[in-house]
Amino acid sequence: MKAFNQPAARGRVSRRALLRGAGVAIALPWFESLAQPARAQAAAAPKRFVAIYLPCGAPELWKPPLTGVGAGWQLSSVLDRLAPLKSLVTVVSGLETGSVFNVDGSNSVSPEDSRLPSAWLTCTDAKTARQTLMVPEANGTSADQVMAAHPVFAGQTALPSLQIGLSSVLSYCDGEPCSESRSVSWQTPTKPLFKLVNPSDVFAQLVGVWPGGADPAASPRRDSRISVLDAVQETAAVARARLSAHDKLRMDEFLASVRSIEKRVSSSQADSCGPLPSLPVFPHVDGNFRQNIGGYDKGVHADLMNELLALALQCDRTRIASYMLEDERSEFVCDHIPRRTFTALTSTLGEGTCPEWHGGGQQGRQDDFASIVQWNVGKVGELCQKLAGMPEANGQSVLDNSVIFLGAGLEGSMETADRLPALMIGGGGGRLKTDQHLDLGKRPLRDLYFTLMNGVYDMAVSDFGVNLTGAPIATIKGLLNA
Amino acid sequence: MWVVVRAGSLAWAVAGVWTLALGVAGCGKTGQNGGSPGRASGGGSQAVAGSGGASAGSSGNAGSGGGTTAGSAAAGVGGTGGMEGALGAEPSDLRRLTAAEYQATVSDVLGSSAKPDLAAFATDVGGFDNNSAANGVSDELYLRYLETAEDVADEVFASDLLRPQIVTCAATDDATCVQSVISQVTLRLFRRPALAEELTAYQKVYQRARARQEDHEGSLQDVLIALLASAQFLYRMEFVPTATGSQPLGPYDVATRLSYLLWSSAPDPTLLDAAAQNALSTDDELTAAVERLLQDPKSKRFGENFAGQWLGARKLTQVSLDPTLYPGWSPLVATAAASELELYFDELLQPGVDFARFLDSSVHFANEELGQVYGVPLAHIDNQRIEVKDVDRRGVLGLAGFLFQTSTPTRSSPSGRGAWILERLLCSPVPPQPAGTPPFTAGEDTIADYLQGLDAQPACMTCHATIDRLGLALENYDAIGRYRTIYASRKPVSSHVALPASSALPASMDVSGVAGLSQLLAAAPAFDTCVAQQLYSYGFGRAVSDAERPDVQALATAWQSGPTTLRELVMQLVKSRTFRYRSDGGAL
Repeated sequence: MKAFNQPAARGRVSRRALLRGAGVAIALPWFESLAQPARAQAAAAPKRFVAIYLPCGAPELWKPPLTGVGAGWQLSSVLDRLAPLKSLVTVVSGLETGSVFNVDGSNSVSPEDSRLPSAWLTCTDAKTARQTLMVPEANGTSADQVMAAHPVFAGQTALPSLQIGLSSVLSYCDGEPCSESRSVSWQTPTKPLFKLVNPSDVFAQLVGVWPGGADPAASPRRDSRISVLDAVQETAAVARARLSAHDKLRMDEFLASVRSIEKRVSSSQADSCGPLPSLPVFPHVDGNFRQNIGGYDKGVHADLMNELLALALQCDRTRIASYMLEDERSEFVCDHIPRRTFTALTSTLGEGTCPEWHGGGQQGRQDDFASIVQWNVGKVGELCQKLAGMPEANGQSVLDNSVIFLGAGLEGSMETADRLPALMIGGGGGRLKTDQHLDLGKRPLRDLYFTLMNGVYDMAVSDFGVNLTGAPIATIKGLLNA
Repeated sequence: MWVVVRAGSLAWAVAGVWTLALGVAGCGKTGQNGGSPGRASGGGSQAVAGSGGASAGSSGNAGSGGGTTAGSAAAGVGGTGGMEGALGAEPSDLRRLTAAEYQATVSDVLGSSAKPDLAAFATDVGGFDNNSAANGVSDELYLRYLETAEDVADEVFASDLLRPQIVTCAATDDATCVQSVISQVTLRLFRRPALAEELTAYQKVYQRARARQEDHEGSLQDVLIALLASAQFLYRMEFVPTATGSQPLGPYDVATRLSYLLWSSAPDPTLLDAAAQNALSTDDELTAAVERLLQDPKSKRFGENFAGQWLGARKLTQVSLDPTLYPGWSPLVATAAASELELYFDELLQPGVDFARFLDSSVHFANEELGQVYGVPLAHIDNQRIEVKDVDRRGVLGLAGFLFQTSTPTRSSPSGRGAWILERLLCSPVPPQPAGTPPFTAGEDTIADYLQGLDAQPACMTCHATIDRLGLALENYDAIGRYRTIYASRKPVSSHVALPASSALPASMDVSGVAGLSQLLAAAPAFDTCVAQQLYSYGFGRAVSDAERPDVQALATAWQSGPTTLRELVMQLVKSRTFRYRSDGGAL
């Protein structure tokens, strides 16, 4: 494997140039050798949270036929690729966000392909937020970002959080601000974080803002950056004084980002994962791939993101991530997925391949839709198996200490705000009661985030999100070990 | 918990938001959507069918109240008539350079070929990508800017051709030399002379690099990175006037507005000189400047960025048709058609060309692949200007780039074409497609019958009546844009439609084919106003609010009262008070 950092003339080699030049075709997985215990001196392994967004909901086949624990329930056909992980899986049926939108808690919301995904991780109606704040785009702060900003997580890792996605084609935004259907993470009510879709960008983010982590050969670039960022802040303050009140707010946002990057540049944590390998060659994703063509392969894209996300969690670069498997209204054509024929518990290979995810897949044949969702659940399963194979200092695996939450913003067949597909994989540091299928009937989704924040991460929060029906926020006791 | 970031009438949703539901022409779903009260869209999105009799633009924005009108905002300013009276009600916001503007600016000023990859951060709120409502900066975006600044500086300093343009003196540690370099580069990159405090701050970058044993050039390279990573470069910054009320913009701000409008780039030395001599304030001076800018080859970016988005040329490469059904289809056709839209626009921008030709012209720009669509044998790789003398193919509505833009892989989409015309040419927003709309799955020869059959479903017809029939008048063009009189199934094509009255087209009438439709549009007042609105929205980097509608109307009226050339519309925009003034003076 080629070392990532190389000495260069005057130490000022462009990191991006390096990234581009470092493309060496390597078969996946390409950093198995790194699978070594991380953070040897850590007393207790850190807990992580990953929210994975499944667009367009799921077919009814998603729901396991029986509720129960252990041998009392079985995975459905759509979820069958989680079989090796079943002991760490919790399927939660009966969650809803209708209560975010409607005082009677009813399930109808329109336009559903923007407002429902935007409420998924925020439990807030973006449209109400926009109107309240009188800004073109707004939402609530998302659960992952509430966590990232909380003292339990804040300042513990080089990256406060990570946002990634597999969107390879520009998606339709349903007539609303695109942030609502393209970004599930909101750092503040007016700051959507979007997500990185290029593996090379994610890699660059994980590697840090200078090559080689604490490598002294890279320090000129770091010192240069610090001096540059100081000047940027100094001059921005000079200009800010001459701007209108509204523009000053924009400048404050800008300055906050500059400070955040400077902090990242300045911190030089020892690298717990050793030298990093280079990234395999992958086509640059720029909204340009509507299907697997031109060297683009959705499966490889997903595999790379899985590797990178696992790396981020294992190496403790971050403990919070959100991951969009696709944008809500993506027109990606899923002809990389063979069509299968489904029953409640099994599926068999059928003929042909799947159509476009939204529309053709979702609203067309049940088998098309199930095939697409099953394939994606399979990719999430592969991520979790990686995490399960990563030992930590306390003898457990990264997955034991994580909650990988996979969910959708809407019900798949009717596009409503109830019966939301939701499941968790991971032990949550021993707090989650796993290997069960729980049907909550009709329970606000915000209760699930509330339960995780307090019951798994000990954040002692008192509220999250919105419930117009007036029902108080409450812990879902069945999710937690006694 | 929420902080009110901005008070004011931000009726952005009222302006056409260009999002078409591609590939789906169905309606017919009842159940949770039919008559659902949950469809409480604020304003603007129901102006299509005209059930309320509202003209485009006056649809109520329930959220923002009706008190703010241009009249009240302009009260007390004492306009002097004409465009002067219609003062933009909104102050101009800080505008971040778009990816295209960034690229053009570093190319023109530094000779760099860098292209920042900002696609993942695009906050597309509809309309043009220069919309200032969408130009916030996140940590990751800023990091991208920092990296790009380093890339650009690396490129410039590695080039023996480019480096000497920056390093204009060689006296290491000489404050005068360093300052002269900073002043020169800042003038170009910041589009104005540097402030004293700025010069001091960037001098410090040089000194700190020297302290790290960087040589003179290496230290100046750090300075260049700092300039490119600064807000002053990344944003078009207009300092708010110190005097109260509406105040003329400073000459450098005018120069910057002009050059980004027409070149998508920073002012060149000539324009900066004019600013230095305060020679960009009279109508004559502005006219001369606009003429010069449009004469410059850099003005092709106006077509790329304005027409490229307005007419959708940029998105054509995302379209893919089924090659088994449309053997003439290839990515080359899409590229040629995108180029044709821009060339078509560029020709309209030439002096003396009447904008009527937008809808009524036989001119095409085609190469071999595109020529096959038009039935004209050509052997050229690059697009050639040709005339297609065919009464059934004329104007922008006959261009393949329009015709296949909304097609599904297997058929033409009358609804898509109709919605495009409503949104792009009439500025009449089309509501989002209702939830759970099933896809239309039958063949191309049944779509017309299917859409006409929606008559039986009044809930569908609220939107579909106007949308579809505009598109059905163009059924003589297949998905790729080839002329046809019969479908593949031998069924004859009909392009005769009875258009119902709507807000955008108030009189009901029978229309036939592209010629009839083009004539109808050309005669529609909403069309002229919409063209003015598109340019206004692009020029000021914001969606048009209710409060600004009189301003847009005044622009359209001024344009229609003179020569109706595109050039004249640009002139009128530049001479307007909104372009030359800020209304928030004294706000500090």
